[in-house]
Amino acid sequence: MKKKTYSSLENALRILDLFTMEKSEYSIREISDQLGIAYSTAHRLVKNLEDEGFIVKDSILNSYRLSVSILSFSSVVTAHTKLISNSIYLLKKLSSQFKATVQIGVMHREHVYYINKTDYEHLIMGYVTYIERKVPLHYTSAGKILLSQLSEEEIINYSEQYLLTATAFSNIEDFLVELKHVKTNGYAISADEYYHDFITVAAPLKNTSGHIIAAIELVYPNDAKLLRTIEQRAKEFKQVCEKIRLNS
Amino acid sequence: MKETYSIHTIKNAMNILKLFTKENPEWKLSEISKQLHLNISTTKRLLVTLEDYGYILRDSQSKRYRLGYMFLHLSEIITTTMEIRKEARPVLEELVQKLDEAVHVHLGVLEGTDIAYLDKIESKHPIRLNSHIGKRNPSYCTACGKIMLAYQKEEKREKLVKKIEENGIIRYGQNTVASAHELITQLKEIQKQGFAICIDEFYQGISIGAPVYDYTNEVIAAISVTGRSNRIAKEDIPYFTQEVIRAAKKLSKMLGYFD
Repeated sequence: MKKKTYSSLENALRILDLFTMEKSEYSIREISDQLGIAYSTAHRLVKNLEDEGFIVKDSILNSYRLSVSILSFSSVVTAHTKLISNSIYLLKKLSSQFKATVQIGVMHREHVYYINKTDYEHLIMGYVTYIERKVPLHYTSAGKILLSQLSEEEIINYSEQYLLTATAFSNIEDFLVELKHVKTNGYAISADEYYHDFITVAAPLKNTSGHIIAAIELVYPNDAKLLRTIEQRAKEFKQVCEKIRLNS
Repeated sequence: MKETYSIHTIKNAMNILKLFTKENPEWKLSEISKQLHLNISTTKRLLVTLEDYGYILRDSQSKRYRLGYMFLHLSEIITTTMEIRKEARPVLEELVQKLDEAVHVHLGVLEGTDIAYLDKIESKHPIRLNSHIGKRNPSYCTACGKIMLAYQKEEKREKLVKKIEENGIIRYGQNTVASAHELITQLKEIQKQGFAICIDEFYQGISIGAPVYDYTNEVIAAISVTGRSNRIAKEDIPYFTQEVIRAAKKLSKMLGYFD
């Protein structure tokens, strides 16, 4: 396979991409190893990002973390994304109706971004930790819903490029069949695939002109009893979501 | 030659992102290029990369750009991993309710030589102050900042003060410290007394701060109360100070600190 070369800016953004909830601090050595770039390059990029206020050095651990300044960017996104403000009430309602954490996912490139979420408190009892906001499309139910809206050619392109990293689908054919089912059924179910602790159910969300603009996803703790009845729950959820038209 | 070019590339890209604010959330390609004195093709190239990585979105109808969802992802990592923010919320709310004045309550952490606000709560009578969550202010003229400087280990403190001096001390208010020497004297005093009071050091405002410790006995954050000089009476300062200290101690205890 040909090795992709990245520009400085791309490498700087790839550094920011490394940070996750599970690993929120990196040393320069770790960054250079993870990205396969020279130590001196990693060092220079980290200094650039630090100068620009995107990451900061932790004085004690001698490693870098994301800067609090990033919060001011996200407050701009939250304030000016209609889908976020317009969905607050809807998510609360669905959360109490389906007794689940509910989140809205939108597609950007090869990821689903969860832009709004309502936690169902009673379910988060200790063992459930956290849900990332950015996940590869084929990892979650919401992602499958969004992928299933693409043309067959686009789906095949995506699969060939990204599916190799998946554990759930051993081959592209299986995945394509699954997505066809998702499209015909109008809902997607994922268990034990990406979130080992969760079962997720998703359905499309339409705007006032009837276009699919996002996916809504229910998140439950993984439970054998629930798994047996999840198909029925997914059908109910789909019926409810079909009637929703959200202004965005 | 190539080196300086790539540094500019990152700087230019980050400057594009910084254009987007609550007041100006959308920009056209031509506006961005004009504002940052970059030619159209350079600007376009930067925007394409930023969009690829989720930092920018382009509205296909209006042809305008806005910030992308990647920031929501990064912010969630910050707020989830910096547990202090979650713990601090009720303490900050209680403090602002108790003071019941036109004040803001801040939770600040040190980032470089700046203080960055992890959280902020406004009173029922909001006032316009130059602060918001994620905002960075200079540490040498704000109560949170001075606390964070004062409680660093001596070696680290000297390094920070030296850096502040190198970057230049700006006179933001009539009482801003004039020199590194004066700053060090004040920091020693602050560490002795356990709180910091800044009057008209950062514009016309009063801020009062106290240190927050965690279980490692390190000061990891500061809590402050800020208001306009004309809204906080001088005789109220001791009461405000006492309440800020009380809140900071309460939060420290929640974080596992025993004194």
